[in-house]
Amino acid sequence: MNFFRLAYKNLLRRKIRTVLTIQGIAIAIFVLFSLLSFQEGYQKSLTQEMEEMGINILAVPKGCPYEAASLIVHGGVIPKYLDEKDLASVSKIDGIELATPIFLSQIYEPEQERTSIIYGIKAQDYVKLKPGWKLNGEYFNDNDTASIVIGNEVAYQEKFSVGDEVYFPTVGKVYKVTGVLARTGGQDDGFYFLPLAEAQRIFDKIGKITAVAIKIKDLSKVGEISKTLEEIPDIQVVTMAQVLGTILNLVGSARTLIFSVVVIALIIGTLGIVNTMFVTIYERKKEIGIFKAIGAGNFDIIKLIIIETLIIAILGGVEGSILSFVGGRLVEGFVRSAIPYAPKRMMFTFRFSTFFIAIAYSIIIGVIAAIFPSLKASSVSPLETIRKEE
Amino acid sequence: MNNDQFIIKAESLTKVYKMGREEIHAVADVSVNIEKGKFYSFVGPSGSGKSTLLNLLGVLDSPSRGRLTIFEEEIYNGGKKRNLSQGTLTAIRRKYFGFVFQNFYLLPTLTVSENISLPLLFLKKKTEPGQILNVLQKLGLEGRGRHLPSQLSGGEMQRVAIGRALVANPQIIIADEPTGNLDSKNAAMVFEVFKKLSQEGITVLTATHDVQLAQTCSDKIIRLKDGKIVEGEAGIC
Repeated sequence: MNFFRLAYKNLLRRKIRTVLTIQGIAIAIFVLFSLLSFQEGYQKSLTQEMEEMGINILAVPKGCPYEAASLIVHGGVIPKYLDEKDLASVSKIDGIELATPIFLSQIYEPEQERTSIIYGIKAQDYVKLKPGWKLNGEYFNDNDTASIVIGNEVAYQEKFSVGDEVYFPTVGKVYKVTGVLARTGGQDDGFYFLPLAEAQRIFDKIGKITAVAIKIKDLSKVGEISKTLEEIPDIQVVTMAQVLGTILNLVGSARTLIFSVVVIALIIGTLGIVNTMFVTIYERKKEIGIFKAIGAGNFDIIKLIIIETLIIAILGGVEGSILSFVGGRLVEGFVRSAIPYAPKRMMFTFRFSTFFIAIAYSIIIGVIAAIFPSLKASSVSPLETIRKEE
Repeated sequence: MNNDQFIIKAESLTKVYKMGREEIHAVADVSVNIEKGKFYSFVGPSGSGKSTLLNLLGVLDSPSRGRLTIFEEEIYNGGKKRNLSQGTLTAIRRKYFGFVFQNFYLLPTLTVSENISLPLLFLKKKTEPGQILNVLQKLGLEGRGRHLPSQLSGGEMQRVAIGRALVANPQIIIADEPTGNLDSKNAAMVFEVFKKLSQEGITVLTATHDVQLAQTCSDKIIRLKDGKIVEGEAGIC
């Protein structure tokens, strides 16, 4: 017989109550564990995605630069355009290795309830910004009007392969798939790529471009080059680092709010344990008195109550962590639909360190919750509880 | 009788409860000496002070007045109450006493062996090999070690409670109405156990309504009425 065994067996006497109290903590730890896992994974996935873009700077139309850049990265359409002649001004700037235009738009097909994101590019240049791209097939030429390259996810969903034809009813045009990209794990998997001129033509935006994607020779000069770029009229500059920072700030604000909710959930869970332990002690007053009569000291009673409370808290922590791990995909699906600029890669990163943090929180909750009930229990006098029943 | 034979010496023990303006003398000026290895039964009607006296002798409660010595250790000094802390009283109880209660108070989720071994946990004593088995055998409970209290009869449960009181090798067993919830057959069995224990040198003090049972097994009977000894031990024995 040891204290742990005694505590565990005491908890078995009120199974339903014990289980329900554990759930209170489990829910709070589930939210905490999910948030911690999400925070790390999101940041990592987003950073990776940004780094794989190969683009150091985006020159976008003047307006809301950070939002515009983020939209461009994720296939959203912005209502403003640059002129193609701006490209020439950009390319002249010292330190720029490559400047290539992008035209971005969407085709909505109401019958299929589908939105196809069209990226107009100069393939030979754009590919230099995408060292990670692997193509099955071949790219189109700049003046090609009948070819299309598609992302891996699009090919999978629509069951396209090289040689197939893609028909867009809204624009009344058929394109032949000349290439299918291998899976990138990023946003490119979901796009259709057309020659720039062809994209401008079908959307009636000849001479217009959405942005200029820029790769610079020396990353340390990004600030200097950005300043020079901004001297060009109608152009605003966004570095990928800024985009990343802005998105993370946005998510950071949401995270702060969620953390507040987690704190409240933890407080409620703690109060739940405190309440349960007080009720238990009230019911077990006689038993505690007997313990004292048969040799238990105040500290023995305190130790017993603390162990019982810690068992509840730790089991709740483990359950909450496991639920978060098992339900991570479900939670990710919900989060992905709820937050902007969600990276394509998995956002939830599960680490043992996160698990240990969750358990540590459970232990802290357990200790805090045990303080008052254990002190109350230790104050029970053996005499006041030993009453003969007449 | 040689004073040294008395392991408990109580002199003019009084316990007064205040109920508003009224004072109730639960125990009034009781003097009694307890001899080692004897089986004492305190008998009397309800409210006679049996339980209160046992609680005082067992250091579960402190007297309003009086003097109490246990194994020559002064616990309460007549007139001047030594303000012993709960911790000190607990230590004294641990050192000398084992307790048996009317309602058994076994933990329902612990087995018989685990219930018996509980005091060893609180006394921080290691369970010696065979120790629990010895207790089970002494009480006729061998083979019941893994059973739960719900699987035992009333008499068996009370024997488990006695086993719990015995496991730490106390010198004195205090049993307050140990047969109150038992039928006559089991009650007699329990008193037989107490008798055997006293023959092994353990001093047993019980409170009981059952005078006939007390007369059958006890070495000494002390009658109480209205908080005072009326027979048997009218004075110091």
